[in-house]
Amino acid sequence: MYSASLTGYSCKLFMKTNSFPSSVNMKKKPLPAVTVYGEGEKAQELSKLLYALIPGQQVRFVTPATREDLLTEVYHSAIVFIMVNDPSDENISLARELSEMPGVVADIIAITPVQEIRQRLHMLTYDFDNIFNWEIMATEDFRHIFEHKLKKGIMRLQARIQEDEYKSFQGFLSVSPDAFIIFDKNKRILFVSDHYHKLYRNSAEALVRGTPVGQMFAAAARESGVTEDDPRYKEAKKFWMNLEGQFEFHYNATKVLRITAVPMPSGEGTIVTTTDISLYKKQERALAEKQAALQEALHNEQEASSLQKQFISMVSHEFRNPLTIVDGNAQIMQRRIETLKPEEVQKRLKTIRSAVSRLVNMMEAVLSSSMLKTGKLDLYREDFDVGTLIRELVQEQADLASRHKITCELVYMPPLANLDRKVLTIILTNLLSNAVKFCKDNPIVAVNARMDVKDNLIISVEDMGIGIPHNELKHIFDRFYRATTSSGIPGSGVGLALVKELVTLHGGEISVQSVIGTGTRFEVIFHSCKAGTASVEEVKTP
Amino acid sequence: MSKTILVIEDEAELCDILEAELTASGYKVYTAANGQEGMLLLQEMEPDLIICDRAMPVMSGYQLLERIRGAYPQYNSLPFIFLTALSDPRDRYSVNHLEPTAYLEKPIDFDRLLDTIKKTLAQR
Repeated sequence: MYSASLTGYSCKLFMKTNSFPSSVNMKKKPLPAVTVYGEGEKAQELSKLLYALIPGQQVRFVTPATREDLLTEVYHSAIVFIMVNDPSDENISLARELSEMPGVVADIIAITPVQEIRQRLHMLTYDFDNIFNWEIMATEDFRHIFEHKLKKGIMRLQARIQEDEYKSFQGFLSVSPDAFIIFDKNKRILFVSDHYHKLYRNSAEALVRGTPVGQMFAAAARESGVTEDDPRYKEAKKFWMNLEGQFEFHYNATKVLRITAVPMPSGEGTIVTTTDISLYKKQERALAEKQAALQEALHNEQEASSLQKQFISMVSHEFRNPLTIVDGNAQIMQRRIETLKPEEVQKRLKTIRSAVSRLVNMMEAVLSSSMLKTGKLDLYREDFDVGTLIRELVQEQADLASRHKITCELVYMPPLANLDRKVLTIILTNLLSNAVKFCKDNPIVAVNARMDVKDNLIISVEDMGIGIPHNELKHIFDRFYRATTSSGIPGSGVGLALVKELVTLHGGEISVQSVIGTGTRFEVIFHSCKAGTASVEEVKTP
Repeated sequence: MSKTILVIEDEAELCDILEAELTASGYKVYTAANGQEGMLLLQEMEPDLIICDRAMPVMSGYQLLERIRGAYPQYNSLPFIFLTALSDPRDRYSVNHLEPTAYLEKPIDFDRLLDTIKKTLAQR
């Protein structure tokens, strides 16, 4: 029997078919390389015969219900045998039809049991030569033909599967948000995804299989305008020449690409992925900005809180000193009232009153300051004798600081001017007490006031004292801020902040000039102070 | 011979009150307006006790005591009393390492001050 005599050979063929380079898919799902289609006993007999011819080769006998089912079988086969019982059988035209369908790689072989119709079949189908007579099936010739056709068919099937896989791979890569280039182990292009063709339209010739990476890089650099003196060039070149690691490429002002090289799992090349991280970078920037803003807010908050603490400690300290003077004098009089001379009692009472007035001033400052902060201070403008008020305030200060020489010069001062009396009093008292406080070693203070032609009232308070460092001048109106030169001199850091707020509330301006060791000069301007121009005006602070 | 006290205080009126009351209590009093003046007077007059404010211009009481402890060991047994408006516990704690004899807060309680001075001087 030929089946027995063919055994050795068939085994060899079986081994051979399995050693074909096969894709992962093939291994997972072995394909029926041989399919037999036909009706009747002869068709079944044919499949048995083929099976005997090459043991181990899967032979599938099918009787598909629909054309689609048949097509599926054909699509996955290397050879399809169709049993034709009659030359006019519609199977023969079906065989032709199938062999001409796109994607079908199988040889369609017609087998007929009738010797004499071979000739007629040829006539019917002119170049259709895969027709074998049943009788020939048992011959050595057919075994050779079958072996040959099977081998070819499996190779074609293999190629078609690879092509299908490549197409789906390419499709997958094109819809992926990332762009890919695959290089072989000689750093030549194996594959380029569509993204690159879109990005580098003019470098099409460099983006094809086989191009060395250097050539590709040169073309891409040229097209994106990255010249050798560009700071991006060096990094990009280093990456592409080594095909290692990762770098971020700033393609233009808004587009940032992250380019990563990963060795292929097989070790036979490199996959380079390019990810557009512009959005990520933008979000990262926005996040960083937000974080910085938060940090700053927190810092400000902490600073404010620390200033607040400093203020409380300072205020408590500042209140204690005048209180100590009041209490100390009271204790002296209580302990030794019989032995004290009347003029000494007078002196002590005067000191007490001056300390109390200092306390009142400080309290006013703190209260007004907090009233300003809560927006509960109203402006009350009225016509009054501003010149006299200024003289009174200067005199009051002179009484408190007997060592100081305080001059007061008024020029072009009308009998009446329109201002808020209380606000002006707080402003001048603070400026005067500051001036006195900071010029103990050279106790000279000059106050000047005048009304200009536009009815602006200009008041300056100048001392010959210690001065304020130039770089600190911009801070001296900040709440709780104290110049470094003021250390050891009592103060709360509220006074000038309050003055500035009140001047602003009054629609005026304040400026400062200072020279270290020479003195400091404050100038306040109140606009439109002509008497009779405005009556009562209420202003809520913001 | 009466004991001598050096009062270091930048507030002239307060200095005056202290001087008046301490003199009336039988002490001889020298006054200085800041730490630096106090340092000079200390070396010149060699007082028996120092009463010193903390917050003062030029040289604070803290700086003065720090200097005494660091550079003038001969005055280590000289009683040094802080009399200050800095009443926060942290302020008080901050001078502990300088070992002042006493830390009194303003306003001044003369009974207490005189009592402290008397006891301190009696121990010497």
